[in-house]
Amino acid sequence: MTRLRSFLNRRSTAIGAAYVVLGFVIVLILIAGTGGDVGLALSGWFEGAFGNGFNLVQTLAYATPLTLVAVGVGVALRANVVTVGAEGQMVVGAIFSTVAAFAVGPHVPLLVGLVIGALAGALGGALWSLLPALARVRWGVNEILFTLLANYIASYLLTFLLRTALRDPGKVVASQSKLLPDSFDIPLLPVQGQLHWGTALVLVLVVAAVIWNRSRGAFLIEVYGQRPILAARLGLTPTRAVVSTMLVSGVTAGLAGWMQLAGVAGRLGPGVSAGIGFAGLAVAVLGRGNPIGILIAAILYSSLTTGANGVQVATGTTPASIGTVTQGVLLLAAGLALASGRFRQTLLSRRSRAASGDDEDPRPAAAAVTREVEATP
Amino acid sequence: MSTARGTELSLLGVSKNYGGAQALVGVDLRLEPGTVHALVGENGAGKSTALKIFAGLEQPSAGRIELAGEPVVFGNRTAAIRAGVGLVPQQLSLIGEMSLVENLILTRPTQLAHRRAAASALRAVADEAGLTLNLSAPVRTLGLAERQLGELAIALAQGARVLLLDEPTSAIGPHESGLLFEKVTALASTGVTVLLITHRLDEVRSVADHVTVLSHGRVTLDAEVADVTDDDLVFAMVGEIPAPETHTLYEGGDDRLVLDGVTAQGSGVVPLRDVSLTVRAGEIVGILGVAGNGQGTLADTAVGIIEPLAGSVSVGGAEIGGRPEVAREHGVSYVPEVRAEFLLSDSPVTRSAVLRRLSDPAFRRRGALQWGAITEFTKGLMERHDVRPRNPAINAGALSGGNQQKLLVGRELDGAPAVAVLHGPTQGLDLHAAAAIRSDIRRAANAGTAVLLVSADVDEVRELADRILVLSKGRIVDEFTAAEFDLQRLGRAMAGLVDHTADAPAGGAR
Repeated sequence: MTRLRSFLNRRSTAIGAAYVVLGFVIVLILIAGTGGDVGLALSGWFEGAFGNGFNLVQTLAYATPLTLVAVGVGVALRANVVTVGAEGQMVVGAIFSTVAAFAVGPHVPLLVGLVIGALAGALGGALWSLLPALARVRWGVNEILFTLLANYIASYLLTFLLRTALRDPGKVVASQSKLLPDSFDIPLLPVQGQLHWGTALVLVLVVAAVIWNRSRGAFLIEVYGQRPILAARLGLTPTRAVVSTMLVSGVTAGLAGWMQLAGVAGRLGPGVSAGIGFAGLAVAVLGRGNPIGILIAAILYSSLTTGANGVQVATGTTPASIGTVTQGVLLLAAGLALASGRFRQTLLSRRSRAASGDDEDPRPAAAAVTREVEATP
Repeated sequence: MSTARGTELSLLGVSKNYGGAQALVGVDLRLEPGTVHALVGENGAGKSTALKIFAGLEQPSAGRIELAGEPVVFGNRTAAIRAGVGLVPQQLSLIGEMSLVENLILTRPTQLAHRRAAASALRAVADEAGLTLNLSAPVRTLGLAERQLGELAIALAQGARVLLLDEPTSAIGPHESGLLFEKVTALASTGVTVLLITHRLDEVRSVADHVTVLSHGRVTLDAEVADVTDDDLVFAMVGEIPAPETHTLYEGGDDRLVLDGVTAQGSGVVPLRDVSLTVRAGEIVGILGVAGNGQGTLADTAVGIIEPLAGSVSVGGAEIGGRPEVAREHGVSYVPEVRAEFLLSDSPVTRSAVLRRLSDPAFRRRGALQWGAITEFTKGLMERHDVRPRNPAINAGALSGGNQQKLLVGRELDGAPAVAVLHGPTQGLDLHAAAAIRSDIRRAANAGTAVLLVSADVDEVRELADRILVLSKGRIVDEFTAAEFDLQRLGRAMAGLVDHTADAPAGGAR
């Protein structure tokens, strides 16, 4: 049923994979260059990331928020809306969850606590993404800039609240909140290590995203990403496309903030987002916006963090920071894959057009969308 | 730097391969000084490739170029310019914010500071060639024909002895075309060598001394223009063209698309002013006008993409002003001027093909789009509208321009929609593709579609339309039926020479 779609993506996916492989080759050369044994390093990485139940759980635990953030960002990317605000949306989501938890208090059943926490987190993330979305559709403000800068506002808001209203009065030095009431903590899965039920929820969301991807709505979002005026004719206005996709990415980021708060830390601290928002963007690009691709990319990305110690232990010479280096190389590979996919496409179509001699088209595609629908509110 | 003397320039046995495809096969083409040489052929016949080889933009795979009898190699554009080969490209290359003088300076970066020298050189060239040009006004304020002439003057000022003109009239009206060709003929009479690429036979007739026809990369005819008939030329270009679908003359259906006193501002410079028109079921109404007189705004407003500032747009009685989705729901199809705008170039043809039928329950099951069924539908669509190659899996952007257009027109006209707004549906297409699209248009009209045909192609509108409206500076300045067609009257109206105040009542007060 999705044969065509996989055909569509096959070539670009192959290119993407090639760049990722190339990235790993570069990393292996680095390891060899620093005197490490490449074979040892690889087995060390695998051991550290997947080698035993505990390490595997660690990897999955870190992949959980990454996947969640990336699925939402992937939806926005389909609409050609580039949001880099997941970091701030996570923070605001976590703040909302914290405030909701202390406002409601400990005397509610677990399920109610979870639902309230999740809803508050989603609401916070959504509000924080709504601002740039509205600014873009109303005044044409660039969403990349707005979301990026909103991250700083969220971060300082967090710092401020942790020193004032949400501060744990029992702690003199550390600026963090009190522990959440028990009924707001996400329970752990019955496995060895720190894997909470949020991981299951994320898997459900991934499945939902796979199903949604086949819908008319998803297709329309994609049409909007390429041809906004055409999408308007099909009933999807720019306002709805931008606001809905940014809201989805805000909601997922807000939920990720809630999970880090209620599933991992147990209390609100300054490190609640910990770069996961930015990493999630990278994972979304690496996974090419496809939910399954994102899941794989998130696990791979996460394994670099968890496997890095394994590499250090196994080789003895290669420091664990090789994981961070690899993540950087991967990011670069993702960017290159995106750019080259586009380049190859232009090259191919240009060549086939030249071959058929049909290079006389007086209407250049680049000049196409000058009549932005947004310009006529 | 002499400009008066032309030179002989030839292709001898030139072939050009792109990958596996042969764009040119053993082409001999000899341009003589003091003559206008027309190069005609369908899209894909190899005209542009030949032009690029002359201009130094492409290298021949086999064969050679001779300049005044001596073999030469134009390794790049600069080498060809140095040898005196000037190019006036189809998409004008001048920078709109700059004057002609400044544009000339841009082409000669080594003389960057010599504005006065450049100005006097350009003035001298223009005077010698008899071109009256405003050299110091920003190019965008010049008319399209004047811009073409400006390109010409700049090429001459660069020392061109050979001028390559790539479909120079594709964007200008008959009035300006006449003006342009007058100057080109005059230039040739001073000894300059001119190569004119076109696919319009009337242009060949009116300006060219010699004509070469290319078909599938081979020369199929090479003769003095005086010695050949139009039929010879058409046969050399395309072999045979299938007989067109005939249009049963419209006999008065109900009003479908009604614009009433519409004033609108698009992104173009020329706004639409107080335009009223009605298109009835089964009728084809043609909008003629020189490009850039509000056509784009008119088409976009008629389909709801642009919201009118005043007046109303309705389809079958339903007001649609500014709501494109409502227009579409009421059966309004649209082929915009820029075809890429309504195709998903980087996705398979299926995705572009299904866009008008997205809500069709046959293509959805429990919310999921059924790409299998859509692929079958796409195959049928490609079959019905002769889109080649018939492969629904390739990207729409990989189709040739003509086939992209057939895909788009086919999608929009398939199943005879209530209203179709078509902007330049055959622009830049070869005779075969254009004939196929015109047949599609007639077939739709015969089935009851109300067609609004916006075009700069006089012949096409004359051939198809039941009624013709002339658009100039955003206003409808003249209207006549196909039976009343008069080229002279049309030319005057298109050039804005019609006294509009006489037949415009209160609306013209602005």
